[in-house]
Amino acid sequence: MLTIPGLVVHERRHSRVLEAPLATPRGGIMLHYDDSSRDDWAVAWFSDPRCTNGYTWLVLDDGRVIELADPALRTPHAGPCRTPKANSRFYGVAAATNGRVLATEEQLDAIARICTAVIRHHRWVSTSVADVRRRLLGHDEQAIWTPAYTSRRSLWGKLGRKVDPTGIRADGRKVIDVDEVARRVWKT
Amino acid sequence: MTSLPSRLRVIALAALTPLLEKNVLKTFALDVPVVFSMSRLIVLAFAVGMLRQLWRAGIAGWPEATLAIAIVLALPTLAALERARPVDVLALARALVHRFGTGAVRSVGNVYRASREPSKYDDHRDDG
Repeated sequence: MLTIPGLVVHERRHSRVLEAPLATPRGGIMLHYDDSSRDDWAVAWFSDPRCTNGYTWLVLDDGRVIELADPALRTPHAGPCRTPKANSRFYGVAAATNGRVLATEEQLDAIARICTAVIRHHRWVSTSVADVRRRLLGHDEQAIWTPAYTSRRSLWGKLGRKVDPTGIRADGRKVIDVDEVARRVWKT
Repeated sequence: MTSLPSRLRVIALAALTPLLEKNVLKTFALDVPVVFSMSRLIVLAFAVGMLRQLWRAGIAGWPEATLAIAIVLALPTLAALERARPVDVLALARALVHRFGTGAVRSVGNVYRASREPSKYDDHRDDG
């Protein structure tokens, strides 16, 4: 089992989400939200046999981090993306929230701490916020349509399959602003 | 042996009869033997919508189950309401409205395959 130095985890619940060996080396971190409305329900779902998605880390409203999978293994968090083998290529980090509820300050801080620890662990060169930002991606920046998701041929291969972590708030505020997370990572 | 137009007429009548009514006022005013029943058309529209929901997403909780049951019982209930006193109709409406918003619900937008919102039912195992 891989332990990322400096990453404080409140609870480890490995082997309850689908895990598999990496198909390609890690290259970044993908941010999500899980479309949940309550933390306990969010955590419980990943122990349900019907669950076919999963993240490496789930961040609860109060900033607690639940490690759902061994960071050395891939989880089904991304699906078809611009980057092939995105489940392996990116760690999956999800805030326990949904498309209308902003991530809390505690969640954003915890996500930034996770990203900082991972970037340091892999020694990914970061000499600017832009360098950090290149390693952090929102699911919506990567998820593409495929025939498995839509019969509209014109959409195949194009972005737009997912809206997380930006969300769909009427006021336009982002549920998780990846740029803001990158800035927080850079500050630390 | 019946002709094709005759058969089509029988089929059309069989299909339309449940949607027709002999409302005396309306038939007299329009000088036609039968008229379409608006309430039956509305029930049909709800039934079509509910069938689509069942087919694509199933039933996840009591609100959806209640709606499905209500659609099945709609026509006999409507027939009974025509003979009921106004106060009884109001009492039934009050009981129904009182139940709105009660019980577990799910985010309807998330259960369909093409939803762009994340869902706990997402299956992202295939990442190409």
